[in-house]
Amino acid sequence: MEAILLKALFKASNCNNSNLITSLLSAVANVFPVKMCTLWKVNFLTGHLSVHAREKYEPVSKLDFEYVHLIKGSLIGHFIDIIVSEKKKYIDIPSVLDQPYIDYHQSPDRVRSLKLKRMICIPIYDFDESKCEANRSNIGAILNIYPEDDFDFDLSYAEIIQEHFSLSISRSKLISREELTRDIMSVYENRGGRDLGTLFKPIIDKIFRKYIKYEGCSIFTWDPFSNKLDLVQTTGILGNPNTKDVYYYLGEGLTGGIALGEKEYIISDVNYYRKKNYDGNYKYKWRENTRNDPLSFMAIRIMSPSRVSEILGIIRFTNKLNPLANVIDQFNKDDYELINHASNMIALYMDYDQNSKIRSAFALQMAHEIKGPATFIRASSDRLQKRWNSSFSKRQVNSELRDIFDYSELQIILTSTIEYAWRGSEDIPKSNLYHVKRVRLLDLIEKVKKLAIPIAREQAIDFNSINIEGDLPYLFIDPTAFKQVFINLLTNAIKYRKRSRTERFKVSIKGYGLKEYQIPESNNIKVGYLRKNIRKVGYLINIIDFGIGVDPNEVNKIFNLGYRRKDVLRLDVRGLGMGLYVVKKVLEDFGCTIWVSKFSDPTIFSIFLPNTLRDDNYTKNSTWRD
Amino acid sequence: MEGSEMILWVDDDIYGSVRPFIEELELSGKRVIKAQNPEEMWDKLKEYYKDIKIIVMDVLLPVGKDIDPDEAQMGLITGLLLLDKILKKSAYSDIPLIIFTILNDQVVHEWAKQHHVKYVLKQETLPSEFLVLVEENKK
Repeated sequence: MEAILLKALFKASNCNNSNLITSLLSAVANVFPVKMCTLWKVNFLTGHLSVHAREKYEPVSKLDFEYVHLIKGSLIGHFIDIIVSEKKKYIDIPSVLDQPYIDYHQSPDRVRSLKLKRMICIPIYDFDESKCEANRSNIGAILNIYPEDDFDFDLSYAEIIQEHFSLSISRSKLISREELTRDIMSVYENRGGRDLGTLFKPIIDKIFRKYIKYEGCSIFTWDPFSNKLDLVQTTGILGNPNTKDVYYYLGEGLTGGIALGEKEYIISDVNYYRKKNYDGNYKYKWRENTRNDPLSFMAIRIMSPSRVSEILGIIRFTNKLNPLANVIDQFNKDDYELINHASNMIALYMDYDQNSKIRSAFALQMAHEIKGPATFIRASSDRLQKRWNSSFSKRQVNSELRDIFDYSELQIILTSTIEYAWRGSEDIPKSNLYHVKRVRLLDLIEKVKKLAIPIAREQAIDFNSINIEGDLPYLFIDPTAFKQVFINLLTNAIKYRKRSRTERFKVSIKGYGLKEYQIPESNNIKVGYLRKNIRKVGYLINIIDFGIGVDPNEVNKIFNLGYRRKDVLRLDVRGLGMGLYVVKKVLEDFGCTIWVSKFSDPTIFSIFLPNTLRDDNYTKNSTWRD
Repeated sequence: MEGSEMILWVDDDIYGSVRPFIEELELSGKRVIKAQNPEEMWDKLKEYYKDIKIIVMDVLLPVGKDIDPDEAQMGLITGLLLLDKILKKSAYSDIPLIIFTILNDQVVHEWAKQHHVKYVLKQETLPSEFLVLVEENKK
């Protein structure tokens, strides 16, 4: 019998992936004398069981409990408890009509009408790909067999079934992923000039449906400039609103909350969830047009592969349907993993698209930034040349020359920022990147303050509002690199100042010598590169301004290359989003730490400079030289 | 400066790279009214439109409160959207316009050609040349 079972299962495995589990179950039903058998998927996330395949019985879909029901209080739930607590390989009961089984059974009518009696329950464990064996701590499915009463069932059969089903389900998942990848790639390859929204149409209408049956699906993309999730494609939204009117702000409702990463991604009863979490005040803003009332829900975030923790969009599903009938089912972790896999593919395409746009915008912006000071120098020099001996007084000539000098410095600083942002990598020794000298930090910051003159003047602000004080000692650092640190922090304070006329611009740079300092964790929890729990001796420098502040939701992005606070666009379109990236890069290379210690009123950027910079011993270490 | 010819100059870099151009105009006796963003521009236009002889407009500008950042392509064409609006308002539509920008872009070229507006690049123009342009194009 074992050989026959094995042969039948192997033969059944040799079929189309979408029919694999049905085919295996059919093999079991053909080899054993069974009245009926069912493979139930166990969904511990929502606490439900769903029929995945069934042989020799097909209930009508209005008997929805025959397709989906709660684990708790069910016969299978009872068996799972026994299997786990008593470490049973399988359960074989002589009569399902006996107590307590019949009380747990969801369909005693079916038991009686089909004359079911004996029942065998075999747990199918999730397959651990890394160990190439079933993971006995995770039950993924349950195989229920109602055999003829006199059938001589053996442990070896249970083991063969367990192993074969476990491996096949795992294989099926892998094949599904591969097929899904191919399907999405093919859509993208045939994209032509179509926009992303059009591209998503076949994905949500056809491709996803090959793997999961559902009633509604929508894709929202993140608009970083207006900070909202915009609908780009849907199977249909209730009320057929205009697509451009369908959006969520960050944190708004369930979808906006998921974008923030604060809410659950799989919900078994979306109505109950809303009532529970929103005190019944929030119904929904937009929901998919579904045949049944919304019940099960799953949302997957599309995250940028190139810009850490940046959301690109959300794919959300309403009402999963059971694979065997139009009964509302529950989304499970396999669905989540599969769609998450698809979302990673989609993210790559979205990211590529966005990066192309960002690249051209960046090139344009960079040209603009560099040509600005150059235009000034060119125009001023021409005026000076033409009026040298005629209408210009000596004071005017001096002023003009001073301006030309300042703008030349500005241009040098700007091109250095670009240079520091792009040059170097982990592979290049720091000794090649930096030229360390003994420099008094106070003098360096004073020089930087002067460099900021043209920037301050451009913005018509009072240059004397930049205050430098405290312990700013001699250090062994690269002065050019550290000028970049402070000019960028200073120009950010200027750029991101409050622009109302009543607000006076003010910025302070204060240094403190510290015998021992613990970088506070609470304020910098989102800045990943901080070295925590280390007490250090060194200097703390606070750069304090009373500007518009740092958005706490974006604090983990502000040091990313290309990051610009999006709402600033209304006030300021210039800048390359390189400043803080360069600041962080330089400081990290010198073993320093930067964090935002206060988000607003005032905004405080804190820098910790370790005492190791008091001499040049660190430049002799292999970590610096090699 | 009372009685001198008035120029409205819209540029977020008004105290920076265009300063030599403005000073040149001022030296020749013109009065330059400065606006750094759309809101300031509308305020100044409302106040001085009868006396303004020409409007000098940058293209890359902050979008301000009322312009949709998407429509303005993240500020890249804010100036063109403002010029469109100016041309549509009868009180302002007869004021001559000059686009004065660093941005050398086909879209701007086409817009300027279609609307018969001078399109001048900052990096290719000297203050004295710009003064001549203003003289030639003013109302």
